[in-house]
Amino acid sequence: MKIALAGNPNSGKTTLFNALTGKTEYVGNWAGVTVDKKVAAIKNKYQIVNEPIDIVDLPGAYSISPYTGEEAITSDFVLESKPDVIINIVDGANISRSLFFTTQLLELGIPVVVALNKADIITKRGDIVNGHELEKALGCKVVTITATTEKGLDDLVKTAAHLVGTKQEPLNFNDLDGNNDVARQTWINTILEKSLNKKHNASRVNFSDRIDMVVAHKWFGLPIFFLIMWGVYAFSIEGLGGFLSGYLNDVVFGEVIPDALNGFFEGVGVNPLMQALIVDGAVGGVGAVIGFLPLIMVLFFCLSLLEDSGYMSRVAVIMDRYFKKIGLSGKSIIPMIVGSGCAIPGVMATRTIENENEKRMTTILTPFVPCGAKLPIIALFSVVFFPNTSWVGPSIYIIAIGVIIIGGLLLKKLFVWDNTSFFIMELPEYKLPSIKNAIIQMFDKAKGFIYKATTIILVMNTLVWFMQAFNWKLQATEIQSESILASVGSVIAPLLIPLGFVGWQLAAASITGFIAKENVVATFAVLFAMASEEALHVPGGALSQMFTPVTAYAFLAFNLFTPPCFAAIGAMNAEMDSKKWFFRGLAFQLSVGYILALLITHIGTLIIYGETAEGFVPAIFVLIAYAVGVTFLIKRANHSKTALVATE
Amino acid sequence: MIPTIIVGGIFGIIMLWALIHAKRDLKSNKCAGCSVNNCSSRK
Ligand SMILES: Nc1nc2c(ncn2[C@@H]2O[C@H](COP(=O)(O)OP(=O)(O)OP(=O)(O)O)[C@@H](O)[C@H]2O)c(=O)[nH]1
Ligand SMILES: [Mg+2]
Repeated sequence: MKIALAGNPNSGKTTLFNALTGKTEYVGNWAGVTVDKKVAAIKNKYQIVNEPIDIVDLPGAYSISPYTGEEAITSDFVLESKPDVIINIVDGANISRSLFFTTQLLELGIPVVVALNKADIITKRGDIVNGHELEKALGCKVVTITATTEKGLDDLVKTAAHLVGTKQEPLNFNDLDGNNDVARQTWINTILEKSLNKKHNASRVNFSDRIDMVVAHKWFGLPIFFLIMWGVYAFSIEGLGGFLSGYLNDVVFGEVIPDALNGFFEGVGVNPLMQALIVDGAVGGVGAVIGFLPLIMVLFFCLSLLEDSGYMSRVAVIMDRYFKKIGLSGKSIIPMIVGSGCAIPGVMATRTIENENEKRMTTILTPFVPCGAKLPIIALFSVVFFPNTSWVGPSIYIIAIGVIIIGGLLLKKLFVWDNTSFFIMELPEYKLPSIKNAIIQMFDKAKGFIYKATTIILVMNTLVWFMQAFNWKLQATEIQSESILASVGSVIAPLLIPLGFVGWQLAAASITGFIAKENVVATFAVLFAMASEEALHVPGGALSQMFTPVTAYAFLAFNLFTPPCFAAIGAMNAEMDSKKWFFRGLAFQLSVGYILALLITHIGTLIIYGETAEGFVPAIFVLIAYAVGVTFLIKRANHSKTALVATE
Repeated sequence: MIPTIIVGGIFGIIMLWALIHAKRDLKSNKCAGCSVNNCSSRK
């Protein structure tokens, strides 16, 4: 038996889905969180009939005739796969608007139960809903629930299960003439006059509006956003998260575990090469990554609180003002906010954007947002090169916003995109964020992080260890620079000279970073395990001999702003649905990261040390070539535009 | 020699497990973090 959850965005479908199935799908206090359908079996507790029940969570939709890609998923599903019952979630805080979709669902013939959600908000506002009147008017069952506290769910499931096999009577529009959207909404308002008793006058300025006057203010909005982000990043990377990670890295993975393993292996007499493989390769590399677990957990805990409070939807509104200028709208912000966790769901969230150009642009720009996997690199470079400061993490975030805006402008110039889409976002009311939700999301992220470290990172790491321990004749070599890895790295290394990065190790680390960004840290850990007795994370250790602080920062930027990991590149390919745009996007990302690192190295070195950095002359050549190339492309784009206008 | 083989064997099994999962995730185009939380499961 298949029960589908359908309703407006942000009405609480996923919250209900999670409550019914025990899953931990993403819940956020804004519209457009779910962009794909999810199916799961109902929890035993709610399995009240013999036939197994499957629950389907759908993206939110305002209407059965879809506007955007994810709305189409919903209407396709209810129209074509014909679920046995539809639970229509109606947002108790927004009843009138939600019922529009309800009236359309009622015409499909599939049995419908209306789940009037957020009953807690209705009660708090002092509104009174007459369920019987509503049932009579709509001709379907209405069950009042509170998804967050799981109140009324038994009743809901029972009602839904009993309806299986019945046929929904179409709506009786009575005195309604015509069937257009306006008439429909008018009809809804008439039935609500009888069944909904609102206590407050809607035009009253409420608490949320008062907060918005400050945080979504024309001038204060952006500085407040920066301050909040600064706080969150400083707290997670250099504050509590950094402190805990430091302990884990230096003591647990730096001393306790390797010492214990070495002692044990020496005691039982394991071959030294095997010992090195496990201790320096596998455990060293994976440990260097897992050491950052507390940092990831603290960050995602904070971000989740911020999101659930409703603040992030305001950020979309604040950024909309600036994004308009580059041909993006506030809609593009949502993929980017999701992308701060992982670029893949971020890229997938671009489905909510109708305008094709805007969608492409967002798909190309979203991976610039530092995702969770990039945090270990940021944190590593921050502790090694800039100890006891708190600006590195936040500064990367600010650079990311800058890169997105400048990158957007450049894309617009390169491809002459004229987007004039406008953006309306429904702002949910502020609420006290749910600690439970934040903890669930935090542990989800932690689980994912550990899993990733013990699968793909472990595999890559072991490979890196082999490649640095053996030469092409497959003989173990003590001298790293004669190893397979060194010779592979040396092929790429010349490309990094204009950026001021010298050493095959840097090339090798960057390459492994494309498989998964955490690999940059793991590869360094493996490579420098022999060069230094100290853990990787100690200032003044082996890593710090490779860089000056300026080139270190540039290398960090290079790894963060070149194309994302393979999996995210795959997601870009899938969402773009055009090989041409996909490759253009990749080339664009690559050039952005490359030029950014180049500029940081050379301008930074000139200003801070008053001298030129390594690779200065090649850099000048690269820069000239780049400028010529970009100018040519822009000229060509403008030319074809004029040609287009002329022929029209 | 024998301890080396035992330790190597255990490590080999762990590696095999990691390899199978890593390959599956890369193939299905999922970030590993997602596949455990099922966050981007596609049709
Ligand atoms: N007060 C209250 N808030 C709720 C309730 N149910 C859900 N919410 C909140 O409503 C917001 C949206 O919840 P989601 O479950 O993500 O909504 P959705 O319908 O899946 O949204 P989309 O995926 O965007 O269509 C979250 O902040 C929830 O915490 C409820 O019963 N009471
Ligand atoms: Mg949802």
